[in-house]
Order: sequence, then C-alpha cells, then structure tokens
Amino acid sequence: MTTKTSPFKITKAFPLEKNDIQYNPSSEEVSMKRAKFDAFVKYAQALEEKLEAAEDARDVANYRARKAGKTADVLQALTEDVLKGTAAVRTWLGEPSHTLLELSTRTGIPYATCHRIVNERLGTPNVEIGHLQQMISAVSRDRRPFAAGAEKHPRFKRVLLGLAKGFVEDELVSSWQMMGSEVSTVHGGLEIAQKVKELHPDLILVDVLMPNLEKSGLEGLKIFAKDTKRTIVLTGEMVETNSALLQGSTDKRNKAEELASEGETAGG
Amino acid sequence: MDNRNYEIRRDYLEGEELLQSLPDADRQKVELAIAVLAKDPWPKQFSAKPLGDKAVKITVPVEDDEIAVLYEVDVYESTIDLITVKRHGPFRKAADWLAGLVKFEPKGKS
Repeated sequence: MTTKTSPFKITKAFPLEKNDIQYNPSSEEVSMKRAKFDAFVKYAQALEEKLEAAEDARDVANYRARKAGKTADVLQALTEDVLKGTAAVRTWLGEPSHTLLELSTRTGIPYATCHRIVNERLGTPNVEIGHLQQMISAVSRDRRPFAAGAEKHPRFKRVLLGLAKGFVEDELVSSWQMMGSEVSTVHGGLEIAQKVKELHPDLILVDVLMPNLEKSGLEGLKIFAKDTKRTIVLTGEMVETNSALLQGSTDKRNKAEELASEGETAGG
Repeated sequence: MDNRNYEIRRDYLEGEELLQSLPDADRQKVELAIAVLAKDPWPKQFSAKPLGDKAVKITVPVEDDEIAVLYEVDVYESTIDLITVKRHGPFRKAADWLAGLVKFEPKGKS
C-alpha cells in the first residue's frame, strides 16, 4: 500500500499567516496539471476565435443588408425623380460619363452594373418608367438588371461607337456585346460618316468632341440621323446633349422633346 | 501597397457612438488608424485580418482594451466603406486572461 503525501506543508501552529503554508507538488503532478490547463486554455482560445469570427460575420452581413436596402431606396428615389422630371435626373440622363461614377457612388452598386444600366438608359433617351422599375426590382433582388437570355434579343442589333481614343471604349463594347449587339468602333470623324453609310447601325454613340469631324458633333448628327434609328452624343454639357438628342434622334417622343426644349431654353 | 488614396466612407458605419464615447486620446488613436487606411487598406501595424469577400478587420490598442474596426475595401473604385467600430469583446478578454495564467509557474518554498 502506497501512501500519498500531501504537497502542502504547514510550518507553524495556528494562527497561520500567508507564508506559513508551503506548496511542494511532485513533478508528475505539476506536469499533469499543466497539461490539463494548457488544453483548457487552447479550447478557450479556439472558442473565443469562433465566437469572434461569428460576430464579425454577423456584422458584415448586417452591413451588406443595410447597403442593399439603401441601394433599393436610392433607386426608388431615382424613379420618383424620373417621374417628376427633376433637374438631377435630367443631368443623370444627360451626362453618361459622370453618371456612372455618380450612380455607383450614390448607390453602392458595382461600377460594371451601373454601366449596364446607363447603357440601357442611353438606348432609351426617352424615360420608360416601367423598364426602370423592372431594373430596380431586379437590382435589389440580385443586382443583375438584365434577365438571363436577354442577349438573344438585343435592343440594338448593330451599334457603332465613334469615340476619341482613351475613352471608356472597352467597357462600352463589352457591355453591348453582353447584350447581344454587334459593335463596331471608329476613332475619327470621317470614318464615322463612312461606317454609318456602310453599316446602317441601329444605334450610334458618338463623342461630341470627336477629332477630325468636319462639322461639329451636333451638325454631324443631322447626317447620321438619316441612316440610323438613334444617335446618342456623349458630352459633359447637358444642354448640348439634349439639343443633340433633338437633332439626332429619329424617334423623338414627348419626354425627349421636353427635355430638349428645356435644355435649349436653359442654354439661351 | 499602391500609391492610391482610398476614399473612406462612413455611410453604413455602425458604432459611431462608441467612437464618440471614447476618451479623447483613445478616439484619436482609432481615428488615426482609420485615416491610415486611406494610404494602406491592410495596415500591418494594426494586425489587419481579411474576413473574406473584401471585408477586413483591424485592431487598435487603447487604454485597457482594444477597438476593432471592420471595413470593406473596393480596390477597383479605391473606396473603403467602414462597417463597424466595436470593443474587442469579453471573450477576447477572458481568453487573454487565461493565456496569461499559462505563464504562471507554481513554486514552493524549498
């Protein structure tokens, strides 16, 4: 029979003070307790990391929900603006290059998605409320404004881009190609006139500051209008854009005329 | 690290009230850490930890505590959206206390 000796040793009779108790555990006992304690600490640390990761994931998920909600709210506000025809929306429609950045910044929607939306807006200079609402519901649902298979029925089969080099040409081309359009690009004013007669594109998108265009971009639109369904001019100046839409578009509707006439009035 | 300046946005930030309730010195430390993100979205000095899908977390040591800042980095748009500012939480404190105990060496009088 083995007797187990206590690791505690009392060196003095009562009353005891702090240093009157000595603790002298055996080395086996120390290592065993240390191993148990180490295991417990590791478990506690692992648990802490799990709890922390779960809390972080919840915070991120809540943030995304807040952001998505705000996106839907902002787009809804834009719809209402369109209905009212406020100046902000006319600017939104009239300044494509600014629109992308502004819309993306304001809504938090990825730039590429904004690009698709704005391209769609460029394809329809006249405000189409129903379509915008569809986009809103689609965007707020899964941020894909165009339904699967939409590329089989492109709004414009042939698109001609006449842009100065260095513009967002690649993005425009890929966006329209995604929508199923055949896209041609030219970089000079004279080439545009030639290509328009050759291709009879459904849509021309031309930079108003296009180099080598014999006449001004707006004058050129009158020529293009004969050979295309629709011409859009890109410019940072809203008034010019609306005037351009009036002159260049062969499919003018009331809203476009309103915008254009108001733009001309504003421009004197 | 690139040479861009990231735009720091607080549109969706939660925990602004915690930031305001901190002592001045601590709040300045946290604000400085946030400002650093404009130049370096993954600062090593604040133990930047990716949380997946563009979300990142940094930890800023303050008096008797740590403040965690969660944010989302968009490298294409050069923007940083702050998500939340929060204390590191009781679990971390408990784990740190336990980890400190590991260093304890039981010794008796010889």
